[in-house]
Amino acid sequence: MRSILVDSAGVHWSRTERRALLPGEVRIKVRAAAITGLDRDVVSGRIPFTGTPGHAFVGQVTEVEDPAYGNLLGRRVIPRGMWGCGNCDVCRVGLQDMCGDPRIPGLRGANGGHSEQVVMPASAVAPLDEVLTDEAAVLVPLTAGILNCITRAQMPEWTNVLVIGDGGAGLVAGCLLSAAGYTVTVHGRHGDRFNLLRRYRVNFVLSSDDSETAWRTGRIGPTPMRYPIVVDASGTPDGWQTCLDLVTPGGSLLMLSSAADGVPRPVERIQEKGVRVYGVRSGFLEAAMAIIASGHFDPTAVFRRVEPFDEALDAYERAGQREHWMTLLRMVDPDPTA
Amino acid sequence: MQALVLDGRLRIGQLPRPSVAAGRVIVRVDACSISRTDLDLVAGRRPVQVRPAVLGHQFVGTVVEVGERVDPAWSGRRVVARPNPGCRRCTACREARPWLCEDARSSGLGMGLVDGAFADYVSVAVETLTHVPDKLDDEDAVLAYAVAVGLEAIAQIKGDPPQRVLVVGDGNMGLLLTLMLHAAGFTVSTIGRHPSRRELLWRSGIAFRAVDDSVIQTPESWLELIGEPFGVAVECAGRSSGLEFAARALRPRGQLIMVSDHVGQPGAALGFLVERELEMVGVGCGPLGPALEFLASRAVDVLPLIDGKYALDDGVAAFQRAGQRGSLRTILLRRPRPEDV
Repeated sequence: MRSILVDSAGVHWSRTERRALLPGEVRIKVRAAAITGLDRDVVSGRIPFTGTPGHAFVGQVTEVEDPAYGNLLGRRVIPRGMWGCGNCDVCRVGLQDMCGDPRIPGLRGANGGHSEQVVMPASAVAPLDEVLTDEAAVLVPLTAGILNCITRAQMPEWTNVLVIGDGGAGLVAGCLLSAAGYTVTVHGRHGDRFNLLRRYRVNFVLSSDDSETAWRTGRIGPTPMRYPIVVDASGTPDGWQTCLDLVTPGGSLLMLSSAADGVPRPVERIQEKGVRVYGVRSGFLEAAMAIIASGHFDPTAVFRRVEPFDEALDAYERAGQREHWMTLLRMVDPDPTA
Repeated sequence: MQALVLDGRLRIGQLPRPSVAAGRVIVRVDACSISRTDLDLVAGRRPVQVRPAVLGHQFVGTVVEVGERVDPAWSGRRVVARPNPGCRRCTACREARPWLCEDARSSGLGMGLVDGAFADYVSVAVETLTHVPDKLDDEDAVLAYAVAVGLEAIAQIKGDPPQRVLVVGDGNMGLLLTLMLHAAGFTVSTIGRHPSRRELLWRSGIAFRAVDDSVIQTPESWLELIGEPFGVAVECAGRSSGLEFAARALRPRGQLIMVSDHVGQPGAALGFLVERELEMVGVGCGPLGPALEFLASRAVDVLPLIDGKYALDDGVAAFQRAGQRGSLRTILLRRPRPEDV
């Protein structure tokens, strides 16, 4: 089977023999995977990781080791956020969620979905609601993570929410939180997002780097408004600084995956302002599936480009271009011998 | 009056005694603690807006003069005061958390803009005062500021004792929080850099490990060091490496409570927040009233945490002592004067 491999030699194609399943594992034939900011950070080496990238993907179960999981055979599945190492005391008593050395596909200790096949523990996959398309399925974990924050950060209804960044993650966050009843403003750089945001009644502020800095620091215009909830979907240290400046003291800051780029970010204002920061990656997947299946929220509008898996290496390059909001890799021709 | 003046460098100087204004009182300073913020201001890591400046915001004193529109009952009372009066308009002030008010921060007493308490007398806005119970000595009461931070940090913890809590850092804040968490019933483990702290903590039955940088830089030894991952970690180390260490000791969706201010630090790579879906809470200050009550309850013996006592005349030496690696808390005490009687 073919997969993308990130190692000391950089990012390249690799062809490996399929390995036999270990107890409790399932084999998944990948149907589609997203290229997110986090994946690009892995591919570029900003996040240290050896293996196959791709933390957001959807696939079909083709083989199970334990017949007890036979009901998964043929089902479309997505990965749950993480699973335990299986060796520590916490894992052995069944509390895999609390493992101190978790496995996260495409990020930490486990191969991700930029591959024809993935092998994972059966307990770490979530069967998909069959109504959902592959595109929507890929975005279920992100949707779930943002929904999860409504509970984690105890966000009161109607609160003003500011989203910094209008990439794929920022758009999903903005539209979802607006659909969930919050008053959302997205700060972005790209005018072509306007139509989508307007459809979800999201306020949109378009700015350039220079004007944003001038405005944030109060050099132009009135003192900028403060927001009790700020979402950092910028993926840049500068965007992080904007978030810390614009969150109200004692407010909450939701940090989306694109911020995990390994670049040091200043933390002194977190303590000074008494801010709470929540790392967002995944959440209660079933709730997110139900909301997408209801038709009231459709995250797939952020996929402006679908690339064949064969062109994955070029797709990583192109995914950085501004007109591709988020890129979907589609496995058009899975290896028939697999 | 005598004062410790920061004018490029620290020196003892003579300044006119502040005159009382409406809504304010004059407090005779009985004890004032040298805090991390003071050291940062002197070292230039934080900006000082006025020169010469008198620093000092963690003090206890006696009201000797009250201005117009102030209840005369304040006269003669022992008090502590929060540095920020608060704007009374912003969300933080309306939620009774004036220490988070951004408007007032710049006018913080003893923070480099308004003269503070490393002096014989200081002028304080009456709404910032809190009465000190008689049974508390000056040396106890002057720790109210640190205890307030500790109580606020403990209030952030989700989950009840006796769950395990990791404290990273064994400076004065780290040790104080360790003892407070222990008193609250949590199972505390503390990691720091000074083997000499062991005796103080082991006396109370608290697990303590001293580590050096080499351990922090090899990820394999972390889990071995801490055993099972923690649900809550409190970071009091004041450096980015401490923050990253605390984060790695947490289980997924754990809670990282950040108590030190990280001024002058390069910042931290925050990928761990997303990777493990952590919650990171910053705690800067808290209300002084409950802190004084806590001290009066004697749940924690705070006196071993004060390892340097100086008279105001020796203020420069006191600052040198406080800035040394491994020193705990240095306080400046008022030397009794003939006019006291």
